[in-house]
Amino acid sequence: MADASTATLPADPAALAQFDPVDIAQVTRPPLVTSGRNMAWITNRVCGIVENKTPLWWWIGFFITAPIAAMTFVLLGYLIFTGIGVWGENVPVAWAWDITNFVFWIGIGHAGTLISAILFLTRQRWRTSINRAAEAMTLFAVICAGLYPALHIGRQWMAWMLAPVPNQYAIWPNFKSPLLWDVFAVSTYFTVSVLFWFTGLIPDLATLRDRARGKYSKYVYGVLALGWRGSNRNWRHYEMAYLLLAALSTPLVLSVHTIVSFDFATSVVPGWHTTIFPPYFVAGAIFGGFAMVLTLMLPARYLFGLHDMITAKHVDVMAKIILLTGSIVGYAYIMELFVAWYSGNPYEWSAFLRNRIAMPLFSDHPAPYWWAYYCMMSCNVLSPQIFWFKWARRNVYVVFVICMFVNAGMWFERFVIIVTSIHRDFIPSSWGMFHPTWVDVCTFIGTHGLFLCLFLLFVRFLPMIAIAEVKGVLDSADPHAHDEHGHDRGHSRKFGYAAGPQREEPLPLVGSGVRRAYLKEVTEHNVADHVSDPAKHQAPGDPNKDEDTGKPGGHAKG
Amino acid sequence: MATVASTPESASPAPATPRPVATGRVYGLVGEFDTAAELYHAAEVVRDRGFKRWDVHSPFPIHGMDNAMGLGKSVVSYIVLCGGLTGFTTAVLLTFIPSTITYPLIVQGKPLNFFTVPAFFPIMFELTVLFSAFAAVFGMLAMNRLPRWHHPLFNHERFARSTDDGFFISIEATDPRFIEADVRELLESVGAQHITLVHDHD
Amino acid sequence: MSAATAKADPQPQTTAAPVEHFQFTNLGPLLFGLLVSGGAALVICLLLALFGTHALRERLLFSWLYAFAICFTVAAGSVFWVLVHHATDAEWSVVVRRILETVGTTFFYLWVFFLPVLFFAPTLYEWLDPAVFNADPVLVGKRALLNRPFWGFRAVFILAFFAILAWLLRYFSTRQDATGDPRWTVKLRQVTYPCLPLFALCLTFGAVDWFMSLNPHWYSTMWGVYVFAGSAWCAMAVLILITYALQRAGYLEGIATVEHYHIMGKLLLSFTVFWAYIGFGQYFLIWYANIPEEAEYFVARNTEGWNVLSTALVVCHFFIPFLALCSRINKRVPQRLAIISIWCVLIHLLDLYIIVIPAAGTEKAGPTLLSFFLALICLVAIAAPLAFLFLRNLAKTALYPLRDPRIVKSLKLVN
Repeated sequence: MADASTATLPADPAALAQFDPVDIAQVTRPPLVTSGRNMAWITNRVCGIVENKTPLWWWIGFFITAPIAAMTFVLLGYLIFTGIGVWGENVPVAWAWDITNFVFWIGIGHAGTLISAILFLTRQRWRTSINRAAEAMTLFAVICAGLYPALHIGRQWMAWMLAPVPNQYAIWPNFKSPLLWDVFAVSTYFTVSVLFWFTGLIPDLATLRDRARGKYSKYVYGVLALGWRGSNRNWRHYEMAYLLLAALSTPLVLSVHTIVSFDFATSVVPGWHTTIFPPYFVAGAIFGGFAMVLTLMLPARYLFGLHDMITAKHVDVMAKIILLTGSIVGYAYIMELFVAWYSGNPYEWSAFLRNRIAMPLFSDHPAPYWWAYYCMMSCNVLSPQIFWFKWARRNVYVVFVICMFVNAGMWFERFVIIVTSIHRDFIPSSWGMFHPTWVDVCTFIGTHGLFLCLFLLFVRFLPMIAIAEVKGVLDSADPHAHDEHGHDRGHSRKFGYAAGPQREEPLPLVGSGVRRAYLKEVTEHNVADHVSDPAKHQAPGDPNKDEDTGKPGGHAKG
Repeated sequence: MATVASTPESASPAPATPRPVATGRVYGLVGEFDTAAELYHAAEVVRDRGFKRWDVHSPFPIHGMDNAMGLGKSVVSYIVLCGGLTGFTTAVLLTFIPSTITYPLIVQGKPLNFFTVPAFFPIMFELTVLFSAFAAVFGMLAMNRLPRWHHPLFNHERFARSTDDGFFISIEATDPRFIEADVRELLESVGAQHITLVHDHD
Repeated sequence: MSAATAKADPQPQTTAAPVEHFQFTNLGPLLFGLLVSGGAALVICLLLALFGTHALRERLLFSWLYAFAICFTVAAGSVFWVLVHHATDAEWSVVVRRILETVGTTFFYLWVFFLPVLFFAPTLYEWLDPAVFNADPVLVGKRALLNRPFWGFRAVFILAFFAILAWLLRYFSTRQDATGDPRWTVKLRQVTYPCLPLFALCLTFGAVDWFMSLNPHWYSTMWGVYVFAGSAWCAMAVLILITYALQRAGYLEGIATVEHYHIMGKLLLSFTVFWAYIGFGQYFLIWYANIPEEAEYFVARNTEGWNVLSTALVVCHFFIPFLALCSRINKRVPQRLAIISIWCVLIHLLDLYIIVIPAAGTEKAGPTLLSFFLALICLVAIAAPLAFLFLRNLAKTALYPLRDPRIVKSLKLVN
């Protein structure tokens, strides 16, 4: 890394050596792929998961989760044939576990899109090791989520009325209804996530195709890879499409949970109607989703030996994101509570004080669901605070346990919002409690089985790490990694000027000549490109100029 | 390309491509490199020689390769723009026509005129994104002439490495400047290994 | 001012790096203009306050609060970007970080301009009138928060927190200029992490205390986030403008490049969207649920003469900058990005204008020329001295953290 051009910089190891090594370690970026692994190793390791013999634990996992997944569908059939009453919801709690689970699962999906889209846009290169699995997790979570509202409509054979078509009385769906927005949002989200996921898979499917030995695998991967041949003329459109999909998915992921929050917040129910719901739901979704990503990836990393690609740094960064989003969620909880009091609205305040906060020890009339509220608070706000400490972020067991807390806490959050807000109606005579039935419980367990089963199938048949993207973050992927002669990277080609003043006689500037020499010396050609170069200003946009003759003098050290 | 005129090849008109009969139609010459950096430098040379029908193949997109190949900006962004506008228009019509014209119905006390538009933003947004995403993926596939069942390059044994850790340049025989011997010499001069003539048959 | 050639380098291993210093004294006419205009505006404010009618004094005080809000949000937004830089261990922002740190130093002086608000608060906040307060049971219920001592304490705490934070962020950063010791980077992170939640709380309660409680009945849980979104947005626009102005004057040549402008443009775009998202979410939920005590905020601003400005805000704060910033060229040509940034700053002025001024009892009917004039005078009276002090502070140290461990990465930035 430290070639002669940067030897004099403070960032250079030689210059840094005089300082405290502890501090130096703090400012040194660890490599994203450790142990000096090369491209062939990455290909072999990731494809090996798909190609090698199925491990025993996979079969065990599969034979546990597959029946549970099947149970979901049996129970859903039971629900369709018997009626929605097999679930425990009843007035006043007409929305209960089903909507809780819907929001829970859809929220989990959000981390996948966050990793694949938002971290892509913000150039977070560490995302490459985890984005594929996280995106797959998104799809499976959205599948689990989608089951609930589709079945909760009661007469499932009338589901076509959700579609934007007029019914037999020529009445259209109500486009002003948050529930219809949900239909649009969730279906768009699923579709775009599939497109994004598959687009990312194409180059890796080509890798599997080129390695395939079996007759059927050759055929299947060959078809799925669409004839991809890694051509740069293709990469050019591919990268643009991927960038645009990321740019589209970023507001999309925000919009989905925003619209889910609208289901509640557009109403006038105390505890539901509050303006911070949209960003609060989004932050909570990302929070819960990251916990689920780690819940899946930590075992996968161990079982498949992916420590060189999913490094301690990856775990550390994800733990920090959990801390950040958990604190944002905590901020939202506090604001909700504060404004419930500040509003001076007695219904609003009672929804918090009497229905959630009042504990048995401190109150004569404890809130019936106080335990859910404190579960939520302690799991979501308090437990991630341990990630302020580095040792906790570096200990995979601690991280795993906290992620489990967060998974549970995020479920409780939705339960608190939905059930505690409506179990006490405006009229005390219609107050009531919610009691889940065995169908509620088993369906919820069943969706976990479905989720895990789909994930197991995914890791068995598709590359669970984005091979092409991980290769792209290796040092050897940089075409200028070991250049001895300078190269214009071409970024100023289209707008062929360096930023800054272009006047002929700049203002007197102390040390500007010295500074220029300094810059030239320390950063060589890459920075020298930006230093005002009259020849370049006069001839912007000449494509060959930059590449061949437009090189500034800084590199002529040889 | 400004530098084309100085190269010896450019002086001669495009000759008829030699076609070895026994192995089918010649697709082109393929050279292999070990690193992304070598491929990058080779691409710059090939670009400056004025070749038009050629390509580089790598397991991952190489940063700056578009410039090294002399390619411009992808047009996929314009396709996506069209897709987004289509989706937006669809959503506007879908929400406003039933709600204000064909079956006006006052719900949630919201007006029937234009000022009910905030309630339609979610659907407008979702459909814009949905159509844009379809435009992005299918626009990309269309621009890349994908999917396809087969490609002559797949006949090359070593080409499978292009999805593993190999870096390739392919110069097609249909390029006006393609003369096998010259191209082979060119590829050798930029450090290519395993230079192979690839044929378009099975 | 300060000696510009601080070439003394105690570390033999590092290159004798020339320090790029801002030449404060070269700016004679500008500084003179700032001082004269600021002084003149202050004198006008003083005269109006002394000899104006009661109604005029009230309008003046609302305008003063408005001008204070502008400077507070920009400075807080700048501190936010520094915090983000350290918290995310960012590379690109190293070269512009010193500018942000120096904008943050205006917190050293901002409290002076808050004194009129502190002393004449009852004119601004109706809940400070005991007759109004005691007659309203809703307000009485808020006594724990809405009482003058605690309100004043919170104001002092918030302004002190920002001043101390801004000082720490700049102090450690400038210490690193001398040696390049990574210890200072570590220290900056240690300052940053605990200050992030404090920052969120201070900004939220600043927004609640100074702006939301102008109408003590109204409430919105989104309010702190809304004010934050505008602050970070405007601070980014101001950063772009300062960077551009410095480059026009011949500084940061080859340091801040087109790549940095591109990233700043992208962040401006993302916060354009973020503001719209937060603003829409807040408006939409209140509009949809239509609960009287919530809706009154928007009723006051979407009726009478205010409707025009509120509608203009939607177009000018979101659609125009969004479309302008979507273009890659507009982000990469500094001149264009600077024009967009000027627009953003002006619209931020409009945003806060719609927040603060309609709350005045005298301004219910809509914006008037007089209120524009008063707002402008107050803005000059606060912003011009702060700009002067900013320039003075900018000259005290190097223009960029020249021995930051990430400086080379930042200089070599490629998008």
